[in-house]
Amino acid sequence: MKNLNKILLFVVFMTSFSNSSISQAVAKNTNVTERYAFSDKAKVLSTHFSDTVKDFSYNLFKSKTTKEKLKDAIALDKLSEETFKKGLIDDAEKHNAMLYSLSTKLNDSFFIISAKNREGLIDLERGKNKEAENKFTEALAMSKRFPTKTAEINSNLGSVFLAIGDKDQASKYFFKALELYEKQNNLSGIGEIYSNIASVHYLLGKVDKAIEYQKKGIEVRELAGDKSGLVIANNNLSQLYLLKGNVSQSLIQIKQAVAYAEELNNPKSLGVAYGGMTTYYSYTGKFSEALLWQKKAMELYEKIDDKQQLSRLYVSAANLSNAMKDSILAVSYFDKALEISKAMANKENVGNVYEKMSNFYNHHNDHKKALKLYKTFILYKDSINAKSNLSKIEELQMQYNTEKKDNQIQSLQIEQKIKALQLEKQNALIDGNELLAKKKEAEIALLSKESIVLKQASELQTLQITQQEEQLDKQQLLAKNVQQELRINQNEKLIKEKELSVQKRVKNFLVGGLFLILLSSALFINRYQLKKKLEQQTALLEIRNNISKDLHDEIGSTLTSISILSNVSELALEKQPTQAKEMIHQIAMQSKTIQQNMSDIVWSIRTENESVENLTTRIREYAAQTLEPLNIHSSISMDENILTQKLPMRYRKEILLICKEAINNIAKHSGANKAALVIKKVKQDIILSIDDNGSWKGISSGTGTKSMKERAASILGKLDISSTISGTSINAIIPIP
Amino acid sequence: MMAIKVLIYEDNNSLRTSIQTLLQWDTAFDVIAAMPDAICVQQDVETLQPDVILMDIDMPQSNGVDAVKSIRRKMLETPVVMFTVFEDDENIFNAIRSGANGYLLKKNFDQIPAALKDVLDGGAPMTSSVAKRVLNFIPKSNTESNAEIESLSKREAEILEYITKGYSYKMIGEQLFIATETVRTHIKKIYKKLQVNSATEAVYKFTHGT
Repeated sequence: MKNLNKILLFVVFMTSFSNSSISQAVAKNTNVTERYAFSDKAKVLSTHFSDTVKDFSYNLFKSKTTKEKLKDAIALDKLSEETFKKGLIDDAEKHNAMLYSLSTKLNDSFFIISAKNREGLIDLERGKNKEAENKFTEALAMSKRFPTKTAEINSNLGSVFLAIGDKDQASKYFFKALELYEKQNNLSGIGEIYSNIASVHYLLGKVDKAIEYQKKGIEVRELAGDKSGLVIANNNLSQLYLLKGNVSQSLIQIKQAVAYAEELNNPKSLGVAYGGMTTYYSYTGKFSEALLWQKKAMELYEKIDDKQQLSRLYVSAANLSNAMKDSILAVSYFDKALEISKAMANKENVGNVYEKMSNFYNHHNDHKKALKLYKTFILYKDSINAKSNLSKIEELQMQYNTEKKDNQIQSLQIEQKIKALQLEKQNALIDGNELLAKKKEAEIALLSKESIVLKQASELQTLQITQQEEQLDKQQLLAKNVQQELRINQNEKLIKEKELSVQKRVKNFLVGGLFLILLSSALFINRYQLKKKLEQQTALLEIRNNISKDLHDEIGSTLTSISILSNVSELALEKQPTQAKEMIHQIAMQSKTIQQNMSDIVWSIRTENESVENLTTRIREYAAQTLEPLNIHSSISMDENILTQKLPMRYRKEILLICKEAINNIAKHSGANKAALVIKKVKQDIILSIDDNGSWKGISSGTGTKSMKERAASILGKLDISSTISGTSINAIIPIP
Repeated sequence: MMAIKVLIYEDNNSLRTSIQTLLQWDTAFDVIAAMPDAICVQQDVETLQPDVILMDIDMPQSNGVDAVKSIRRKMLETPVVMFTVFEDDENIFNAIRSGANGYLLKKNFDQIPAALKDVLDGGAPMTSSVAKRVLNFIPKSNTESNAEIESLSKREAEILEYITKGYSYKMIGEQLFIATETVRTHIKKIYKKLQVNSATEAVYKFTHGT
């Protein structure tokens, strides 16, 4: 630790001392501390930030000695801390990941803890509270030896619980952190805790207490000179004053926050402060002022391309514009919000925008559009509270229906007007007033046009609504399907119970002795039916068992193998890259095999593939796919008398797999340029023969030929491989079941 | 040469990312976007202007076939390759009728680059299950002629018959003593007829209210 502190001190010294420009530093950066010096300096010059980072990460791989690597770790830790503070979360995550892998390699627990802790912070920032909690807990468990870290992690854990609203846990961790910070006399730490405890009080509804703690926090932070903390605390305090109705004090605090943020010139702090300003002005009803600050915040996030924040801000800007009665502006912000949410491919955000847009149109009495948007919102929202949504839809639908009726009334009125005009026109004609007649004629034309437009619009609306409804119906159908399945299961259960009770009854009768002959014969019939049913069920069960066995054996074991290989190759990647490469190749091959197996299993389950004709089609397609690229000519033929022969699932699957194995062997081992596959029916047997003109003599990697024989045996058939000078032939006889 | 701009629709997250990675390693392609659904497909195609689209069929809330329809309704001619699990999926057939230019099975994912290039060169795939449906859908030339409906020529029908039996283009060429390229040309024509007839059918249904 002593050493570390020395290095840190040196770094800080270099930072305040170094005057070299970035480009110079890049040119000669061979020394890590120097590199770190300019990277720290770079945080002020945010425009060159990313370049600096690139250069830095490039140089990182050049460090060879442990000492140099340790310095790299220090720099990375600082770099991810700074990027995180600036709100560049993705960058922070990148640096932090590098720090983590470096520190695990160095086996340096201080940096491992630091990286874990920051992972938690990043998760917390992204709203992944559960993940954050896990990471902090992990970090806390390791941090005993580093009291500064223990305090920080305790505080972070408190923040997680604050975020999920668990006030008890939150205050427990905050007070633990406070105790530690006080021992270390860490002022900015203490300030942060005061601020957090204030938040707990606020959540408990004790605003006065919250204000008191917030003020304490500000005091300590001023002493510590912790400006980014001061921005947050002043902003929070401003909002607390708003809640108390103390508007003037609120303005003073938020202005203070802006001043600190501008001094820092750090996007995250500026964002917080501008957000506070927006809240203040919208709370006091000065929407245009609020929008002004909002725009500043948006510009800021546009610059650092923080889409998550932007999508939120665009929506609230739209709402602000709406409050200002500027619908056009509101719509344009909604569009922006939609665009960016879609670009992020974040359904939650897209859904949120649609919801807010629907509210907006509903507010503006455009119920049709509101309904449409609301339905889109529903489609986006995966888990939905079906009932409340349906009632909302119904409500909107009703409003829309009344709107439609209004339309109809309007068009009726127009028609009446037209009639009246026609009358007037005729009268005018009778009177000989042609000019007036022409005028009336023009009016009629105009009105008829209007009426047509009105009708068309209403038709179009109905059409659109039906379309949307169809989509919704589809979803409901899906849900119904599940219900039906459940019902089927229930029925099955009932049948089984019935069977059981019947069996019991049978037993009772037997025990009761020989009763009436009539009764016993009736019983016999009943038992006969039962037996038949049981047989059917057994058959079905066997099919099911076969499928699950196939899935388990072939796919389950290959998947296991793939995940083993993935783990091992990950380990081998650094030390034995050639072996790792081979393993990855294996993974690719095995997943391809799984793909094929899955497809074969599904194919054989489908009843429409029962006939031998379909089997040959599949074999032919496989042969063409496998052999054609190798320029092996293949011909597949079968007897006419077997075309329509139906085969049970097991049989068609095993025969298909035998043929595929044979084709694979020919492709890989035979060296042939011709292959012929013939399927014949002789008496009650299927005769399968696969010949090639290669020189492999049926000797493949071993398991291949063996598995062909086993497959044939499993459907009571027999398979032989024989070879001559001119080639190899595989012959199988399979009795038709 | 300019990289081919690809737009991907696939709802399975891992598969979508994997395809993206696969194509990013191929300098011939430039993945301009990969979307988890096709809800705003018209807008996407108009703003992103892709050269070719890879479209999953079964996506929640938005079906790939409908997406193709809505692209074509906008008179956008961007080639679309459907991407699906099952080859005997009726949806493949419907997608071609709606104007898709090709299809690829998910198990043959390694052929994605080839399939995308193929479709840009005007090539069109056809497998047995789809061929069966085509034969049932387009009338053969010897049946009564209808000016509005394009029928299959004798050769085209012959080729489709072979495909239903699993023959490859090359195998068919050997059987009929024509070049593989010629078989491909026939398939392209079949694709066209399928689309034209589907459109006529749609118009017919619309104007006659059936």
